[in-house]
Amino acid sequence: MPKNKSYEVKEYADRPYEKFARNDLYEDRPGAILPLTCNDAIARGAIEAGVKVAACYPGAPVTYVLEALAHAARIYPEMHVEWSANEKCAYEVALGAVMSGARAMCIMKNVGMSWIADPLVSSSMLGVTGLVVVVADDPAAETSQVEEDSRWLARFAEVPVLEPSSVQETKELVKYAFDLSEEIAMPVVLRITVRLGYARAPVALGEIAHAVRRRRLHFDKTGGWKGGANLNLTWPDAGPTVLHKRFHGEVDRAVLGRMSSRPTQAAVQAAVEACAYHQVSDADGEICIVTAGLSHEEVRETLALVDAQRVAVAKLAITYPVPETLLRRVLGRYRTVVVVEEGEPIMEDQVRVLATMTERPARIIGKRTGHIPYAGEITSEVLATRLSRLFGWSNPLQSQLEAVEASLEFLRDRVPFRIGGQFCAGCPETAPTLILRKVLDSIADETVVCGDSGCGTIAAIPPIELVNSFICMGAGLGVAQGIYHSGIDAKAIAVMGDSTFFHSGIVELINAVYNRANVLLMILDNKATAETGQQPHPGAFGITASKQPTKELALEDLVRACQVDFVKVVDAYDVRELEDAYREALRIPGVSVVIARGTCALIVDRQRKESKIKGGQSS
Amino acid sequence: MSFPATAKPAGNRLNLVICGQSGQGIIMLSKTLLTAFFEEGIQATCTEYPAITHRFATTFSHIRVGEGVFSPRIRAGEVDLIIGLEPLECLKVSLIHGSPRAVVLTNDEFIRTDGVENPLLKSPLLIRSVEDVVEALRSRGVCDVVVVNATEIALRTVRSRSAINMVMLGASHASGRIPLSRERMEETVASIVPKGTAERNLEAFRAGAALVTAVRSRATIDVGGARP
Repeated sequence: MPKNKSYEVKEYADRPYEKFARNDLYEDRPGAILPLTCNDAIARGAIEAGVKVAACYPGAPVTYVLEALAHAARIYPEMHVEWSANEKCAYEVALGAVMSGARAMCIMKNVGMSWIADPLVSSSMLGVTGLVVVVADDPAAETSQVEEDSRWLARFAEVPVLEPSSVQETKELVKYAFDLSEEIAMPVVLRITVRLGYARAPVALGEIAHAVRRRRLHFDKTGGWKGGANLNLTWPDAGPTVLHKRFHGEVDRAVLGRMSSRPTQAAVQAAVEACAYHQVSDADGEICIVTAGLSHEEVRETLALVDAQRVAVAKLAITYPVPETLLRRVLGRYRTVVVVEEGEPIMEDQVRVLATMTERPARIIGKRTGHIPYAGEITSEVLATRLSRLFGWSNPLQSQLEAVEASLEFLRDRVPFRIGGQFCAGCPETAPTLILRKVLDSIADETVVCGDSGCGTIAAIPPIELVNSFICMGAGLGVAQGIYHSGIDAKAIAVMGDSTFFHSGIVELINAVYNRANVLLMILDNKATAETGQQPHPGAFGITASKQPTKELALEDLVRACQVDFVKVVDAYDVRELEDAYREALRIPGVSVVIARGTCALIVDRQRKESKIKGGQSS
Repeated sequence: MSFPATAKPAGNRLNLVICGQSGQGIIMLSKTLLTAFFEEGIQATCTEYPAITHRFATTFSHIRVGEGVFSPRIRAGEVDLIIGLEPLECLKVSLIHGSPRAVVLTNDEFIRTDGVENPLLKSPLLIRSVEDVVEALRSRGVCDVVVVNATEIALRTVRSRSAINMVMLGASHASGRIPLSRERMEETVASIVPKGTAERNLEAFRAGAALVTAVRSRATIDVGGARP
């Protein structure tokens, strides 16, 4: 390459946020192959399907799906893409959009799925079409507080779950999920797990359904969105149960005549049976492994390692409900069926039920028999070890795993790494948490501090060790109230971030004021959903996901409107002021709030660099 | 992972890990390498462990090159090339993931550990210097370790720490284990980095490459040839 070749692109200077933007993700180039992240692949799948509304509350490992879609919204202005205040809002926004005839998607991590349980269950039987919920589970809980399996919640609402196994398939299944949702008139959940969520691989693009995205919409008032109330039923026919009866084919013919015929379990099952993404590679041996998602790739890795060519593999693309015809054939043909999946035994339990309805079924091995672990990622190391022991194969990884164990011992002795991150240099959360700890240490009361999600969790570990409990988003303040009401004779303390306050903390605050709790709430106001990558929220900079100006909600005004007994906004870097504010807030009975304000140091750093570029100084 | 049919298979398999702390540009390197392999028509896939947004959190990327690769995750003990942007993180990853024949390139600058006891430190200082890291690795059978003064080079060539990743990439490429041409690497670097920073990044890349090339020609450190 000639040395003097210049790659400088000048027009970037006035749009610094576009410095990493890649327009090829949004181009109409069917057949072109691009190396994409799984997040980009999800976004591209949705764009190809003609998604019009997308909503998300940030959460690893699917945060960047929305960032990719937000960029698309600047190219296709009819799209609406938003950072919602919480996951429940995100789901409801998507729900309203599909009721109006648009295709819509909401994206969340595993713990976010719990937040949408109520609207998901309440809307799954209404007959909505074109609604996809993307959820990322976190086996091994790399970036979550729990290892929960979201598929239970999908099953709870009786909606189907798709599980892609590769980046390319993720894009295809997102597209297919929209079609499936329209076919069966139900929301559809697409579940990925963390390792796939962070994967990168070449992906072949498809056509973008511009016409779907641009179609003229109207809200169909006869769509049955009021549920049973739509039918104007007379006693003794109860409203809400009618939808559940319709789903399971138990509704009276006379009532059915007054409502649409979808969704039904029979139609869902038929669609699952007909899904073209299930794959069975038969073999002449006696063992078949039933698997889905990234576990499929790990199974293939394992089989290549142990050179087990006589083992059949059935990969399911839909893991709830499972394809019955396919599995009953597998159960009838093979003597042993091993079910391999990350998380809980969702597929396995369904396979076991099917076995009770199959003549002389195979022996089923899985989590229920103790052969496959429930916790952690299902890697080829785990599988090679477990399956070799089970089937009497020699484990090709034996010596390797022993060497790794020895290295781990060595590391534990020599370099005991502390788990967890640290506050960044210049972080505005360092002083507020450290000073609060010092103030509490200096008073005699046995005060309890309840923590919350976000960057502030770093204060839970040494050296600050501020908090005594940590549950989930917004739970800190609720737990603190319970601690006070239980009769502990001191002001209970809760610490949360600004994004958490808008997510759910405000409700806890209202509850505290109403029920006369004696608590201190410290809000770390760093003007961002910082931990996931400094996404904006309702109280940060007045900017939307797609970089449009909007209102910036004043945190202290909201807090005051909740009629708290004391509120003070303090500079997060002013140590003396912080200490005075804490002492005063602890003295005042009732609900007191201290807001420690300081913009995330990474944002300040970026803004400084961007203003330098805008100012025309070359860096 | 499934690959589009147009990708050509690579001659050898290569398992590569880039590791360091968050904010050092590991994901950028991962993206650059994957794109370069893709442009070259070599099958490659990767998965990243981007930690969280906090600084000082372990971040790494697994890149798998070659055919017959399904999962993007590399098994412990099977990594051929390790690019370490921070010595302690590199030590950790190399011990667990490195194969005995692995080539390890590590930056020599510790983050937040200047040999001084400090309560904010991530780990107590039984490992105090990059020599200790090399020694610890050798004692566990990982012998092919190249120490690169990447921070110093980055500061000298482009007056910024943010180019440490490119210095390390250049050094790693010059080690000869990455089956890509120099032109391909430079073109990809130029197309991936933030707009307006291509020249600076290329300068850092070339400085890193020059250092390892010089080391190799003097043959003071065995940086290893292609794997048999």
